[in-house]
Amino acid sequence: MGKATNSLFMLILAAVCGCSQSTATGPAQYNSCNGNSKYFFTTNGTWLSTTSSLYSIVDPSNPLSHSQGNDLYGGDTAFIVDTNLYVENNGSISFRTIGTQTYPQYEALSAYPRHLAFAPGYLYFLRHTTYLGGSQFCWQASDSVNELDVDQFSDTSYAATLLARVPLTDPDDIAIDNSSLFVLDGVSGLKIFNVSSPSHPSLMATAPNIQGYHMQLTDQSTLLVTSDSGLMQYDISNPSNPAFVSKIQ
Amino acid sequence: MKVAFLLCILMALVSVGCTTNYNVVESAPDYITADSLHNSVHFIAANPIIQPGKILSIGNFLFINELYKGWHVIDNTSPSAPINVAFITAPGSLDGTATQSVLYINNSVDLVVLNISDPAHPSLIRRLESVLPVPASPHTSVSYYPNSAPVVGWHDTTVNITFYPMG
Repeated sequence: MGKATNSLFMLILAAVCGCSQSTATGPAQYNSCNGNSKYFFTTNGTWLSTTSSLYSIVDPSNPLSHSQGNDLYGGDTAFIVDTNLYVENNGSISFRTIGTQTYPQYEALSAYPRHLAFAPGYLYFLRHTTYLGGSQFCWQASDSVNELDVDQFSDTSYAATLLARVPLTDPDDIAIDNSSLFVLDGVSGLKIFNVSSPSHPSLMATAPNIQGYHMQLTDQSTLLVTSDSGLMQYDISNPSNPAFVSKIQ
Repeated sequence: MKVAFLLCILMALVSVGCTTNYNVVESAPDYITADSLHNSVHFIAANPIIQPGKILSIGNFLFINELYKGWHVIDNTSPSAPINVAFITAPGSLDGTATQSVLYINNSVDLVVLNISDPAHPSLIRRLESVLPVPASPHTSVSYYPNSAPVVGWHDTTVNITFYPMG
C-alpha cells in the first residue's frame, strides 16, 4: 500500500471516528401556527356547525346533534350560507344542503387551503405553508405555496374552476365586502384587492403597517384586526385607504 | 488488505453511524380534571388582550377569543372608544360563533352555550360534555398525544432528537 493511499485511509478513518464521537446540536426548531384558531364554529341561527357535529339550535338550551354529522375532522374551516353547509377539507370543498343526505363535493384545485371567503358563486381561499389541518393539531404543509386562489363553482354541476392565483407572502386571514377582498399577508401587511372581476383580482392598496392574524368585518364598514398588539379598528368606507379608528389592549 | 480495511470502515460506519442531535421545540398538553373543566366558565372583570384569536361581532358588542383562555367582551358602541367590559373564562377555548342572543364556544372538549341577550352580563345556558376534539396545539410537533383527560392548553418542551442517517 502506498503511503499516500494509506494516509487517505487514515483520514477517512479519522473522519468516521470524529463523526461518531461528536454530535452536532442544531438550533432549536420552532414551527408555529400563528393565531391558532380554526374557523369551524359557524351558525345561521337555526343550525350550529362545530368542529365535529352539526346541531339544530331551534332551542338554544337544547342543541340537538343531527345524525347527518358534518365530517369536519381533517377539515380546516366551514361556513353556512342560507341552508347550505360548506366544509373545506384539505383540497376539496364539500357542500351539502343541511338536513338532507346530499353530499356533493367540489374539488378545490389546490391543496392545503387555509381560510376562505365566500361570495355567491365564488370562493376565495388562502394557501399557506403552515396551515391548521388535521382534527386536532397544527401541521406543516408539504409544499411551500403562499397564495390567494379564486374558484368559481356551480351548485348544479358541482364542479369548481380555478380562475386566478395571486402570490402572497405569508397569509393568515381573509375577508370579503362586496367587491373588496382583504388579506392579512404577514409582514407584507394588509392587502386590498378589487374583485369586481373575480378572475382578475387587482391589488388596490397595501397597508404594510396593518399586520395581524385575524380579521372581521362589521356592518358599520369597520375592519377589525387582532394581533399581538391587541384589537385595531379601521374605517373602510374607502376600501383602498383604511383609516385607523382605535386600538384596545 | 485494502478490502479488509474498507470493510472495517464500513462496519464502523454501520455500527456507530454519523449521528446528529437536534433540539426541537414541541408542544406538550396541559390537563385539568373533568370536574374542574365543568366548573371553569366564569364571568369576571375585563382582562387585557394578549393573544387574541377569532373575532365575533354581535350588534354593538365584540367577543374576542383569548387563545386557550376564554373570551373578551368589548362594548363597541363607539368604535373610536371601545370598552373592554368583561371576560368569560373558558380554558382551552379556540373557537366560537354567535347569534344575536346566544354565544356558542368550545371549552376544551365541551360545547358551552351562553346567553348574551345582555352582552355585558353573559350567563350559562347549557354545557354538552366531551363532544368536541382536543384543542389544537400551537406547534407543528407534538411531543405526545393527549390521554383522555381534558386538554386546556399546551406548553413548550424542548426535545433532543438523535438523527441516524445510516438507519
